Amino acid sequence: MITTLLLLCAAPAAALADAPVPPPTPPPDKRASPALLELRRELSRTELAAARTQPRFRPLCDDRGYPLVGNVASKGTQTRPSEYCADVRTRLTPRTVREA
Amino acid sequence: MGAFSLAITDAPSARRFGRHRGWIDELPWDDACLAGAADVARQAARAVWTRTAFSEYASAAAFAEITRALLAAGAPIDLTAAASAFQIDELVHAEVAARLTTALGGAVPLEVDLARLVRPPEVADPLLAAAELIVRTSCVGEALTVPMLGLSRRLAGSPLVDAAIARIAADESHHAQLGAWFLDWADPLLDDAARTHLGAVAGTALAAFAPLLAGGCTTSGLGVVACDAYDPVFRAAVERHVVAPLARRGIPIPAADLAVVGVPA
Repeated sequence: MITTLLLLCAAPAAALADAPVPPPTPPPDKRASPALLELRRELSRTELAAARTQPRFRPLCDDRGYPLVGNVASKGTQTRPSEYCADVRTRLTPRTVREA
Repeated sequence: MGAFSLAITDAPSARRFGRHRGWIDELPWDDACLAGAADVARQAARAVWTRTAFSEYASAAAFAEITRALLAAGAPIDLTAAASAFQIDELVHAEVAARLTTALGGAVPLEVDLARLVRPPEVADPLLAAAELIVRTSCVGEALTVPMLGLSRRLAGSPLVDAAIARIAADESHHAQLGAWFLDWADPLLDDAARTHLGAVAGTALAAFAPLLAGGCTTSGLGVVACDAYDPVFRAAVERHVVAPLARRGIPIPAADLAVVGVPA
């Protein structure tokens, strides 16, 4: 029988588990970080359809939305990657290479 | 779009893959520096290593495209084989980044589009299409990776992160060299128009990194680099590892693109 192990996912406790992955259990409010509580508040004010389309983190990308090649994103910015992408799109005029 | 995740099986394919990834288990995973780090530092590192896992995954896709393009161009098989081998390196790097992320407390949710991992070439000609992919991937992205990983390693403050980056950087150095290997072979086949085109490709790829040079910053450590350390090393790397090698091969990068990342023409 082939077992699939999860190497990376956004639910920290589940990663690398040998057993089937249980659904994540949110911590009680008194043990949750302020950032998590803020996310919960934000979500509670958002309809599901809107929440599905709301970006959280996205990879660094170029002016056409393709991920940047290489491993240079070690900078510890306090800006969300999604903001990077938005910034790329506003700072760089989309163009074809031939137009450059 | 979907949340980025990585999985591995225990099937025979995993044992074959194991020949390439055995060093991961030998890293010092009991490093006390990770558990002892401040929450804010670990948070920043989780984001950086999650993004790194995806960058490595996307780089594997880039080398897959390069392999296909080199085959279509009838390039020498040693070049093609190198590009093919680099795909595996990048998948191993994706795994080590994922395991580091887990050791730091887990991944951040990262929205990705796995159907759009590699920017397609602008041209149809097989040789120039391969050159375009290689310039973007090896001559720019991977060439910048080597010095930036070196900086990240010097500031890591963790034996585990130090050892992981050292191994990744050793591979990435070869990935960057593919650019020179290919361009030196293709030199007689590239005319002035092709070189101008490749310079524009490099410029566009370079300019896309501009947002990295803005924004507020955290402190360095665990693979994270603070702004005051990052920006000057990045600009020096552009000049030394991207602009100069391409210029030696008659491929000029447009001044406007260099200006976007703060590098003089």
